[in-house]
Parts: sequence; structure tokens; C-alpha cells
Amino acid sequence: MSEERVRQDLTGVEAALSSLTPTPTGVDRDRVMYLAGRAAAGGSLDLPRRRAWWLWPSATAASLLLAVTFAAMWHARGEPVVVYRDRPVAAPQPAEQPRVATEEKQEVEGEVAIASPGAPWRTDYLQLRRLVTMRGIDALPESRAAPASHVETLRWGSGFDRALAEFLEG
Amino acid sequence: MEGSDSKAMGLPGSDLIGRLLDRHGAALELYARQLCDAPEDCVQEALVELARQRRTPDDVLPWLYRVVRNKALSASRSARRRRRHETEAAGHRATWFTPSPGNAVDAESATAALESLSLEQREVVVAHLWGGLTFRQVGHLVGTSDSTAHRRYEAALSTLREKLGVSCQKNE
Repeated sequence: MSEERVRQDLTGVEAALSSLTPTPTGVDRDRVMYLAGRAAAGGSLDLPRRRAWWLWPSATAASLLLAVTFAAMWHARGEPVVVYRDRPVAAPQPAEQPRVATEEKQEVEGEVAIASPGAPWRTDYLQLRRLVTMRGIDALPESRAAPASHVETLRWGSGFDRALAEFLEG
Repeated sequence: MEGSDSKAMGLPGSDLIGRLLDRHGAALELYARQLCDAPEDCVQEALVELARQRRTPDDVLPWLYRVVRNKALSASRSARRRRRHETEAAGHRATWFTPSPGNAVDAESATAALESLSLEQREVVVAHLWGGLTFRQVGHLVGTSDSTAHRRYEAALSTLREKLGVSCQKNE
């Protein structure tokens, strides 16, 4: 049997079968239309189901709104305010100096140099005095020595000598 | 009535559903009958499903066949579980077609010949011959390519030709 013949036979079978009409549907048309209308209306007769459908989206939206509100409040709070306060800090006190017997003698007989206000080495005067007390005048650094113009030399004994001389002369 | 409001909104209106039921209800039911024992329920549920759509599908007839197929397969699985040891009622298969003296093929013979085909071939034949779907749509429906659907169709026709003894001479 040629291929053309087979194809013609198949076409004949196809035509014969297509002439058959399927048995009319047993679907109840009225019921289908009623159910279709109810479904198209969104199943309004099925209230519990509709409520359940809205429950979770509503809860999600409410939670999201709450989260956004808290986030906005957190951002609106801003950076913490820094307050600067002046606190007087006590200067470190030098250790109590042991009174040395020679100290008084040096103060009586020696020269006491009093620096003019504003001298740079006056701030650490106590340390310097301690250094001089322990090691002598040679311990003074050259650069920090007070200029001669700023030093007033006092001789404790000069007034007494002058008075004695005047008494003896007079 | 075409349902101008629903058509404007893209909603499947009652007129469309009624028209589909009138024109394609029998073929849809015949297709569902290949897959399950409750074809009327499948067709009804598919039409209601169409009414539930917010927008009418672009190709509504293939969409409807696909929904019917899914529901028929689901119903078939449920029926198998429910009635594992029951025999199927013979009357369900005896009336697939309306008997008519003008037909070249007897309705009962055609039903018996179709029953002898495999399910894959029957699906393709019914969807294409009485459903009016193209081979591409049939392939999409049954999950194969259109060429595979066409091969199945031709194989089914060959089997039916042998079973029914129909040839071009007879038709002439």
C-alpha cells in the first residue's frame, strides 16, 4: 500500500470519526450558571473564607506599619548631645620636702633669686629649688637661667651693716 | 449577550460561560470521560473556575481543556483510591456518541475502537478531532511537543482504521 493511499485512508477515518457527535453533556446548565455567578462575585456567600483571606494580609500590613513607625522614631531621635564641662584638675603637688638644716642657712646667707612674673622657669620652681638644694647651683641649666636684669639681689645683712657703720661713725 | 461590562473589565461573563458550555460542553465531557468516571463534575468545576478568574485567559478553550484535564486526573486518582476493587460501570462508555444513521461509523463501534487505544492516543484524538485544538495546543495540553502529539494522532488513526475498517473507498 502506497503512502498516498495510507494517507487517504487516514483522512477517511478522520472524516468518519469527525462526523460523530459526542453525547450531549450531562452538566446542569442552570447550576453551572448559578455557581459561576457566585464564583464571579468573589464567593460572597462564603463569608468565613473571605474573612480568613483578609486576616493575614491585614496582620502583615499592621506589623509592617508598626515597624516603619518604630524605625522613624529611632531615626528622629538623632545623635546624642555632647556636653563639655570644665573640671578643675588639681595640679600634682610635689612631695613633701624634708626640711634640711642647710636650707635655712642658705636662705639667710645666700642669695635668693626672685624671678619676675612670667619667667618661664617659675612654673617648675619647686622642682628647681629641690634640685638646687640637692646638687647645688651648678645644677641650674644654662638656658633657663634668669637674665640678670630680672634678678634683684637682696642682702639680708646689708641693712644691718649700714646701720652699724652709721652708728660707729656717728 | 456578550456581557459588555464584564468584557470591558476582562472578566469572564456568564454569557461566555454559557456559550462555551453549549458549544464545547459535549466535547469537553468526552475528553474528561477518557480520564475519569465523573466527567460532568470536571466540566462544571472547570467552568466555575473560569468564572472565578479575574481576567479571561487569552486562549480560553485550551485553558478550559487544561483545567478539565487536571480535575479529571485528580478525580481519577480519588476514584481509584475510593473504589479500588469496584468494576467500572459499562454504561459510562456505551454512550460516547449520539447514534445517527447518517454516520459512516457506528457510534458503538467507534466507542469500542476508541477504548482500545492507549490513553495518550485517546487524549490526542479527542482533543484534536472533537475539541478542535491544534496539535500545538494538544501538545501543550498533554505535556508533549506538537510533533509528538501529531505522531500519536496518526498512530491512533491507523489503529482506528484497522478496527473500524474504514477506508477512502468506503467513504466514497
